[in-house]
Amino acid sequence: MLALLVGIVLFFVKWCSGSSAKSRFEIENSPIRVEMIRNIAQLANISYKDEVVADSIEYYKSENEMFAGTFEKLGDPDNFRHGLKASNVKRRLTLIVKGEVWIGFNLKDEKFNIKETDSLIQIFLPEPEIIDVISTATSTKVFQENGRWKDYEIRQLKNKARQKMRRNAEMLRLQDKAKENAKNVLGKLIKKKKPVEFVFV
Amino acid sequence: MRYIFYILTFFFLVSCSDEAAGSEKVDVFEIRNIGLLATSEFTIGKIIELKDEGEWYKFGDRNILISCKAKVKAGIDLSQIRDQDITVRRNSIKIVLPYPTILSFDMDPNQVKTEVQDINGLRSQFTQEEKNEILAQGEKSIRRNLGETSIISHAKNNAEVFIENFYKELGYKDVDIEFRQAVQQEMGAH
Repeated sequence: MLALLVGIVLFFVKWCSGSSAKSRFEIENSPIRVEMIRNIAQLANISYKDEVVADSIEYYKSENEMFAGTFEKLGDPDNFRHGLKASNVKRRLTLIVKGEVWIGFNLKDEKFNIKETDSLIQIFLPEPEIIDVISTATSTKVFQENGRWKDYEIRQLKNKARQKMRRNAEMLRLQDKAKENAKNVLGKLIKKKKPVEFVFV
Repeated sequence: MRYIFYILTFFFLVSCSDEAAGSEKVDVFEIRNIGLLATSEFTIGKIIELKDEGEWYKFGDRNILISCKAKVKAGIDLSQIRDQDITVRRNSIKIVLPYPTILSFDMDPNQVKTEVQDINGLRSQFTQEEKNEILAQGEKSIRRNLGETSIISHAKNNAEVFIENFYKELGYKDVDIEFRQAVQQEMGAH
């Protein structure tokens, strides 16, 4: 009896530690390859950090399909818990994505120019734009996964999250802030005793 | 007998508890003024290889190869330039720039691809959650190995060229550029 009890407990301890450990995967030590090198000149003036939810859901089309699908889930160890309670949700994938949006100027643009006259320094800059939407695997969390999902579907969902972050940044109209900050950052580099005028073209 | 049962139950419950609870760092989402001049962009590829032999009670194993690409930008933080870092003498100017660092690290989802998946025995398919976890391991590995690439020296050279041209456009004949000492930074901090 005692041996059986110890056996059961050891099994659950092992199972429990295996399923809840955060770093359960150890990848092989493979090399990295530098595939492309680009010379750039981007001035990032505004950083907007955001967290968005991207959700994709598919419902059963009929009651028969729902019953068949629920039984199928009950037979699948990964989806067993989703089959315990009958629901009209066939598949659902929800991601929580943290990211950062950079707004700034591309100084490789031909509009970037400097002109100096006897009385004035003029700095011509292109209009500010979103130069980067940054997110990674470590900043992405799969909140719920019900059913089987293909790689292209998660790719679409991650892109949807990035689009959402971009839209949020656009709605905040951060371009004016970027212009003001560019004047401060670049203005600080100029030590001439002449007024500096920034022109956004 | 009853006491042994209680002890074993206690041991079981403790072993399943979350150790990291209570020490979580909270992210603050805000709009910040920055002044980062990115001068170099490297696209770095990696094949993430995982052999998941599983636990003793799982029959079979699972292997997966995922290819991914990361876009890494390096450059200088112009907001760290202080007044005393710029010295002007007639037609010549001297500037001390902050040492270049990694400014951003991005992984485009369109550049992530499962190349091979081999699952045998009674093992189940990799879920998207598991694939994301594997990808996160790959990301950490790229970040750790960024120091092996020439991204910082590349960014340094490009920053030098940019700043020199900037001042020459402003009419300076001699432009002397120096960099502050490198501060030890974890690669790919952003």
